Amino acid sequence: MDYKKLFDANISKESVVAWRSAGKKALGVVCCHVPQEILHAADVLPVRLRATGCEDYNEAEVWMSSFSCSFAKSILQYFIDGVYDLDGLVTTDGCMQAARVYDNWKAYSKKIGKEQTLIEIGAPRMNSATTKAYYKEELKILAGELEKLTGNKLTDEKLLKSIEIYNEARGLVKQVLELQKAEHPVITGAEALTIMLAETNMPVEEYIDLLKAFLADVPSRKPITDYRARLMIIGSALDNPAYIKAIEDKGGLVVADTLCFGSMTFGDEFKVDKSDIFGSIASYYLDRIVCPRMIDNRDALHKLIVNRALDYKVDGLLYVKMQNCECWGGENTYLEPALKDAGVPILYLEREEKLANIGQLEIRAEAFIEMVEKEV
Amino acid sequence: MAKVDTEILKVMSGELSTTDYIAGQCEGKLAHTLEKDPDSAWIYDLQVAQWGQIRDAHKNGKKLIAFGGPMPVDIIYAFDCQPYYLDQLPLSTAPKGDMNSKFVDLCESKTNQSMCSIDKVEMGALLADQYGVVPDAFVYSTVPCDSSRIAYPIMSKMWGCPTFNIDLPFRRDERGVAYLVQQTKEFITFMEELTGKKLDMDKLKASMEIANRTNELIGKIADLRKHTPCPLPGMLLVTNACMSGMAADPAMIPFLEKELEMGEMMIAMEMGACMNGEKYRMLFLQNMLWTQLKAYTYLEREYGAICIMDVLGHYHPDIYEHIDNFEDCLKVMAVKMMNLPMIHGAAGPVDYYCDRIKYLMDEFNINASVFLGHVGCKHTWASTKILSDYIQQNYGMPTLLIDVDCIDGRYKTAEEVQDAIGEYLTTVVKL
Ligand code: SF4
Ligand code: SF4
Repeated sequence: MDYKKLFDANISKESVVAWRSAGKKALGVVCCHVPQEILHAADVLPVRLRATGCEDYNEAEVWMSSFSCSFAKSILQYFIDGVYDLDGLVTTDGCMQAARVYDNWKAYSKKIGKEQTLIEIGAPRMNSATTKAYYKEELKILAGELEKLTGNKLTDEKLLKSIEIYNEARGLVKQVLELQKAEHPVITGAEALTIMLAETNMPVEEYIDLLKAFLADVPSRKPITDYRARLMIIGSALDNPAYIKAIEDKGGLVVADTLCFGSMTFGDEFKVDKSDIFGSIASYYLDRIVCPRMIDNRDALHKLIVNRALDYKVDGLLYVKMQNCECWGGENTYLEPALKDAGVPILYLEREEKLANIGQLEIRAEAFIEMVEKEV
Repeated sequence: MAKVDTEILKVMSGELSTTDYIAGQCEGKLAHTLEKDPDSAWIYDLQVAQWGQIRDAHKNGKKLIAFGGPMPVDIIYAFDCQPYYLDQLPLSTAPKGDMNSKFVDLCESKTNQSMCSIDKVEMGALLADQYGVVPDAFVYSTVPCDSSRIAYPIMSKMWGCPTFNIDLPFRRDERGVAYLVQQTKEFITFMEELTGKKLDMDKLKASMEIANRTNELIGKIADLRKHTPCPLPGMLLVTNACMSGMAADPAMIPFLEKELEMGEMMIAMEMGACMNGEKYRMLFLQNMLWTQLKAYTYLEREYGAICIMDVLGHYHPDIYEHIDNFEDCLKVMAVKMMNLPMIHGAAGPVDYYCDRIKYLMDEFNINASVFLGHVGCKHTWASTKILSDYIQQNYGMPTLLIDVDCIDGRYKTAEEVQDAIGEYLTTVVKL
């Protein structure tokens, strides 16, 4: 099977058009705290919204101002531009700027008279028995809304099946990520991110088939031997492999990440308690460490980052913050000493959604690679 | 030659703590006012009491509980503990240029430049080890924003004291209330463990009664501003942001009574706060400009333009109706947490923001709309078009957007702000 679709980072309309022309619904999803299993069980195509390649978000900026995160603005811009032609949107209040995508999407669609199904669920920002119980109810509300939208009954069987399918995808992505542990991996960091991004706009079943085809072909791929330093990348939403490619072109090889469009979105296997399926989903999504949006996960997040850096034997870590992103704005305070103790140097970088100032990135990345390479 | 504030220099050099400085300043101002203008002394009484209580908490045998965001503060009082609402610090340092900058710069150098400067000052003072007091616990909620949610866990770790968090629900409905009630019960357990005492219901009732009295006064004072001409100057709105945190403090009562009395007296005399007559009744859609208070006086004097209310600071709290019914009181506490300044508008879907604007536009006879947007508050900036369109469509009023830093005065001078507003009023609003 040809799996080249896995290596195409462009936002393709193909799957969405095919899905909707079969009379089914496709909903945009902002932030990885929306459990896609629930949409899948209702036979809704979840399209995790990203803004890869958005170079001009002037119109969205009129709505969201120049002080907001350009990732959030670019998603809105793609809606304005028609890149996303969907039945609506499901969001959680991931971070507060991502949450504003919902408000502006709603206002803009009303302005242009475009009918949209808009669902916003509250994902607690704290992990406890009480918050999980609350989230569970929010997820049930989501399920009810999806039932109304599609006319499909969301049964336990369907949910369990969807969880199983998503677990299969998680397992396969894990195999892809394991490839990066090798001394001479067969994929670059840009490719790994591209593979993970592919999940955002195709049915998960198709994604699984493509991953299987790719993994079967791994033995024929040429190991990468000419890199100068193994790097890990962490920070704000990064949905553009070209950014990583610019770093890799300078001799770094990105072998690990904790990005919400990368490995963090897939996480570990979801172990479901069949007697409380919604409760299990709530627990899984709140226990999973993704980003600093939670108020009480900092130590665990830092530990995960440090362990991953060690596990993937990285020589240096790139902390890439989106301008005006608060969520990823303060981790350095405790993460930097922890990484220092583990012997992992950090390079701080700021970016915008559009790939501006690549020359500057290349210069800084090259200098960093040179520095950490010497430390090997 | 301008008088040098030697105490500020001591804060700058790290010799003097922020708490000692602010408490000392308030005491000095009170002494001076008592001598020169005793009728105005009430303005400082409250500040002297509050900062003194924070400074002397341990001396008075009380545990000091630092808190941020919506927390059930009446319960902290019921445990005989002294709350310290951290936003009081930046709001007090904002007009103190260099001293404020010291903390902002320190925070920026160690963490994040784009964070809200309210949090920068709070974190900067801790990085400089200049709180002068060490809390026995730091309790905080998951809102108002991403900025506080990043700053507080770091500060909590730096203080290394026990901590407790409350997650504010996204939706402000019955289920959200129940969610907060449950967490408030967990908070009571936390306080019981911290203090080694069971919650004393009589003390809780006493603290709720004080809160009822202050909240009733806060509501009445807010309502006074509906009157044309507005009897109270815009500058008095600066305290709104902190009112909620201190509602169960008995020192609030005489202050608020005096403010209400003054407002009522102005109305009785058919006088307004604008000495040359009131022309423009402005609604500020976001926060107050704590750093440039003189701009308010200038606009009132030169343009007859008064800030009637800032949307995020507006506070019209609920009252405990059934003080003997514990469950009912917890529900009221929950509603109050959801309706606190900054929380009600900034921390949820934009519809809540619009609802509050609608209430203020409908009730307060507003004729000019200004989004005096604090640059750190990115999620409210991300709703500016929705808010300004809402006002344009429903009230036919254009909104002026100005970017300011409410806490860091280096961003824009008072003159720049007042000129921009003045020009807008005379060329666009044109009454
Ligand atoms: S990049 Fe940061 S500010 Fe932007 S949506 Fe993600 S977490 Fe929010
Ligand atoms: S002004 Fe905005 S960014 Fe600053 S603390 Fe308040 S809600 Fe947060």
